Amino acid sequence: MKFLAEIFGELGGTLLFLKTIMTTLVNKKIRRSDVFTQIWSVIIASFPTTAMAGFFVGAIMTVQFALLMNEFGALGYLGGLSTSATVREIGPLLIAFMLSGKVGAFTSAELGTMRVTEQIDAIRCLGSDPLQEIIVPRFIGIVIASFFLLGFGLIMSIFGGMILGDIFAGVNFQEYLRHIPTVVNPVSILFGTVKCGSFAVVTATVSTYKGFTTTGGAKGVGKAVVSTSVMTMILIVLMDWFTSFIGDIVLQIARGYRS
Amino acid sequence: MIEFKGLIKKFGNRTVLNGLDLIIREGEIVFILGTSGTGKSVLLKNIVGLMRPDEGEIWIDGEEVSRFSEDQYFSIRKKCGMVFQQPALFDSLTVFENIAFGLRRHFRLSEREVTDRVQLALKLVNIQGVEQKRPTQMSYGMQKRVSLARTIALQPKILLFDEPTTGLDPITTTVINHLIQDLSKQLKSTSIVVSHDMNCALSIADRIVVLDKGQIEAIGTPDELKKSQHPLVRDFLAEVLSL
Amino acid sequence: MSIMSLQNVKVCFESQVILKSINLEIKRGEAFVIIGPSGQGKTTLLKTLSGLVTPQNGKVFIEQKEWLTLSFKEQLPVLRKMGILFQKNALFDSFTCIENIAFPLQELGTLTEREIEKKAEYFLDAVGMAHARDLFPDEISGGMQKRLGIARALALDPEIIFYDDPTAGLDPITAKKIIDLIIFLKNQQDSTIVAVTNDMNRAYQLADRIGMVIDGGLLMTGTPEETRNHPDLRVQQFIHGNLTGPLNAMT
Repeated sequence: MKFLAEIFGELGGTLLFLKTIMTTLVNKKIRRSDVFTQIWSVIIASFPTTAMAGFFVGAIMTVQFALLMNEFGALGYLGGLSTSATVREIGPLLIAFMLSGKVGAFTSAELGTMRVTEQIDAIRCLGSDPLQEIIVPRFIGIVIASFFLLGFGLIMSIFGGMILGDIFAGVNFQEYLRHIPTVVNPVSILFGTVKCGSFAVVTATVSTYKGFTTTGGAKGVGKAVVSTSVMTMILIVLMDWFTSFIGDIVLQIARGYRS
Repeated sequence: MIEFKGLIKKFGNRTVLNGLDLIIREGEIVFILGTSGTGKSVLLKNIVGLMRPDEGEIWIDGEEVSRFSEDQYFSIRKKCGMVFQQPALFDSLTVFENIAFGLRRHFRLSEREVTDRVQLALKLVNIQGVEQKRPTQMSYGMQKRVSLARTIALQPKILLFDEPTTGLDPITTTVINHLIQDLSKQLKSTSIVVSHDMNCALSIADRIVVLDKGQIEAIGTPDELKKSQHPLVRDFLAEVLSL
Repeated sequence: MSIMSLQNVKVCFESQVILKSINLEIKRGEAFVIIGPSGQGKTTLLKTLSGLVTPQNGKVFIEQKEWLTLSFKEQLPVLRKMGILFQKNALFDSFTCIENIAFPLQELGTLTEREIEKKAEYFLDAVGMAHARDLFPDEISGGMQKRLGIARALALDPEIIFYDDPTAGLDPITAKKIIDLIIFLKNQQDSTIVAVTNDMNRAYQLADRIGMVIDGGLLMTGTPEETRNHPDLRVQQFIHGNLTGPLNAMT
């Protein structure tokens, strides 16, 4: 019982924090330069990681699909199917995991350290709002940068698939790319995009919330980092299911409307 | 003027401030003494709204502030300069940017004026040529001074010091103590200093408050306290008076 | 008989020389207090004596053994006899005060639960914190955390104890009590103490011998009495905290 209460308490706290971020974002002036610095530093820090993650996700998917499709003699569709699966589901999920581990942990550690060394109190005492000064710029920075990084990771995954398709199943690049447009429709790309966006928001909210509410010295910072990564992982999986679920409903309504 | 009326602050079931009444006059230097854990830092944090009292009132310049919202409190904090126990400098910024932080946000100043005010603040705390350094590249004593400079750059009406000389060697301690005295005079500000430095309290305070168990045990000018027969006050001053 | 000694020790961090050519002997059973301006090598000297910092030049002897030539395995028994109290003491946040003291004792594995509890209570009481027995570190003030850290270090009965500014941030009454406690336990257990402090009153109270570090060098060593009456103007300026004198008050 106590365990459940704790989970819902955390969830509620995160949502309330998101609401505070949103009101600050709407009501107060945010310095553009702060936001751009954040976007830039997040992209720089995580570019290689996402590129690698994306490449290997695509590669793994292709290998798996190739094994199956070889049996059915449908290797021609390899590129289309594996890209579709990657873009819609596995790509955003795995890359978001990588990103949350890197960006999320870094952000909560940084903010947590600022909290326990009284730097956040110092901002308040200098008559400024820490939400406006450090939280919101980081939040926007992470959302935008993650969105780009995820998109970039997906492109890398197509590359990975292409190269592995050639090496592993003997499907050359042209062949691989030929069926992508037949299987991957705008809807799956939209799906992927929505997922990327929602995962980015989850990572940004949880890491800023956990960092901002750190207590108890260096140990506390460690705790904040650990709970950030656990919580983002769980929330990303939940979010993944939720977006798929909503997406399905939307699709069905749209189909019904058309016919 | 700052006035506390019946201030009560509890952490869980532990009462840290227990019905504190105190009036601090405009422009005076008040030292707050007390054994550790008697609520000295908590009192300072209540003034700047980093903590809120459970009961009682805090009046700053004719306003009751303890029930202010976070947004309303910003205007109060602009009047108060707080120097923390730790230097609490922003690691990611240079010394210059640290000091310019508040200036850029609360005043419409040209870049030239910002530079001038930063330089002036650094001159007041007696250091030069460190503008482009990062806080982590400097010694603890230097960081403390930069932190002081950051606070005074805003020329606050009320200066709050939380153990400004803890961990500093005797010479730097003297330097900081002189700074507190000079700054209070130059900025015509009211200063509240939480300190364990008895010598300093006796030499620069206008009044000294001795706290114990969240209440005021003794209050008076340094001379009055030197003559006091109160056992706790005697204990505190024993070493200083015997020298 | 010397328990630790430094010969011509030079310590650099990157290109910056922190200590230049230090010669020092610490006798068994004495309380040696290091004083000096901030940022000029006090803490580094303490860490070099305890073997935490490896000098670029010179020799370090701890218990007559040339420290730098020993393997970690050979160092271990000596390290076990040392207690170090850092400026920022790392307390366990998830343990109560009493558990914080008891934990390292349990790790030793030589005492029964009952003995551990009794010992932990004794040291908690000795630093005047019996009332905070079941509180957590983040529920007590900074000064109390400091006292808890000291109690934890002392409870292990180390033979050589290093203190980095043990009374910083404490009010004079508590500070005096802590130093009294440190001296009492030192006499009881015949241990050796090396301490850094910024508070001259505490230095006089604790020290058998005082050493002053200025600009990476050991300017003087002597008893508190000798220090008070030392002819060097720099020493006089420092111990009285004067602004005018040969030392630059700017640093």
